[in-house]
Amino acid sequence: MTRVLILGIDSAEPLQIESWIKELPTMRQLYETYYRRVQSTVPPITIPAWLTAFSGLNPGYFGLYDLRYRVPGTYTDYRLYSYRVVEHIDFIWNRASKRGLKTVLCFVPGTYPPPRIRGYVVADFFTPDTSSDFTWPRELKEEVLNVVGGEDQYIIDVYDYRRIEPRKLYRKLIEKIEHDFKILKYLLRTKDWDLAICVLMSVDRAQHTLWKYFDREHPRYVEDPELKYGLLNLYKKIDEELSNLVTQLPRDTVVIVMSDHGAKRMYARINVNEVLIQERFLKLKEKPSKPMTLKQLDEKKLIDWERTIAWSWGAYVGQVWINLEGREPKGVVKRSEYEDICRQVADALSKVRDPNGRKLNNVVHYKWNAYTGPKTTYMPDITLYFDNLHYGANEMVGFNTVYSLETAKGPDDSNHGEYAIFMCSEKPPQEVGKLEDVEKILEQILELQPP
Amino acid sequence: MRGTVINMSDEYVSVKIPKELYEKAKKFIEETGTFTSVEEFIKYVLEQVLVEEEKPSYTPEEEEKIKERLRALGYL
Repeated sequence: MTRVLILGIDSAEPLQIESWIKELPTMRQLYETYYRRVQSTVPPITIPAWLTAFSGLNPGYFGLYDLRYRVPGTYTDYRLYSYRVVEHIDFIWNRASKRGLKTVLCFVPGTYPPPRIRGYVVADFFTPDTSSDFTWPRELKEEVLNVVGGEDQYIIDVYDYRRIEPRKLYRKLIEKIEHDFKILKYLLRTKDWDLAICVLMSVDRAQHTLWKYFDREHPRYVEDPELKYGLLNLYKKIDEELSNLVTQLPRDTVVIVMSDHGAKRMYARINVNEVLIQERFLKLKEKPSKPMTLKQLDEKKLIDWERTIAWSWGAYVGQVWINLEGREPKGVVKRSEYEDICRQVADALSKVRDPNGRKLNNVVHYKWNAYTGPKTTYMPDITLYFDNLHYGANEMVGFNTVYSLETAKGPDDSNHGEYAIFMCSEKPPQEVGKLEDVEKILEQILELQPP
Repeated sequence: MRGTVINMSDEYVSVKIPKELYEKAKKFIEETGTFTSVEEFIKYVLEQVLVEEEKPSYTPEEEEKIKERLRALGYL
């Protein structure tokens, strides 16, 4: 029986990997055997993207487009993602369990609370704290904490990256890689397994603040002799750890390195709701005196929902909803007008230019084209990639300008990219062109029945 | 593998189920290896069915901790 190890590098960008691969000897061996740029999900965001890769299903099956989801029947209430939302889905680890195979899941985004699979789970960055049951089986937690030297040494995430001095952040991210590999190596050495999936978040966290140090075309480029190698050095660290790990693996192990989406330099954020107000699709009863989130505006009853056509959420892409009759509490758009209105709203948003009036390559994804599955109804009606993701999005209102950098979401050096990476130590049984294909090839390598 | 245990403490009650169903459950957990006892399996299934539709996964305190992190990450 062939075993499979997947090392996920959240947010690893194809262009970066392609230009740096010569400096990553272990990954280079895989790269030269089989490498593809892989189409990510719409939107290219961590939770829907990884869930799609490991289920083979479009995000319309989960109703997930972010790390949170809107509560149906409300305009601005939301819930945080948890595995309970998707536990009915037949993921590769469920399918492997049913066939008697054992799986190790390490920090795979979307796995808190940990699924009760045949195997071992250490949950992801949604773990509230170390007192939570973040492992399956529960007793595994004690072992995991011992591996890293105790509860106070366990690192759930490096999340406050906007407030940490860049050099300190870089060191913390290196530490996190070492920490994650320590746990992964322990599990692979001491447990029985057929499929192991580990996802590292350090590259994603780094790109939001270290991108400007190596990209000379970045509008906020900073010359720094040390930090210009910061991101490359993180990849080198991962490559070195992977090199050490693969020597310990049984010889029949297929090794895959992949990401969920890429990354690209971010110029600024578009204040999408400000545009919708200008275009008269979003109506306020009164303008806020200071910038507010949509939820704050709603709580202060400043939004005139009975006259509103569309509103938006989202930090990296614009997630736009139409105030549809029968679906929204005060819906005004008739179903017969729905597609027409979607096109009008998308056209207005597509016309947004950069601060100097230069045309942007804005890309529109309509719900009816982007999604399939029973929960498509919960997905945003329109998803916008401003300048094909070189501009992010911001839902806040009150800046009186379309462009935003210093917002509540903080400055980001990079946005997410629409392509992911996929490399494999042997030629997979079928081509991998999009994330959905990953589950299909795993099923074939592990000789599982189709769902 | 443990059978049905009658626990007389205040926190547990015993429930009778058809033997055939019990054997099926036992076979299922042996094959899948996901539960250590039939009781654990039945408790899990019942929790899944009876849990409210929205299935809250976090306590308010836990939710606030995660939100704080997601805000710092730029998602909220």
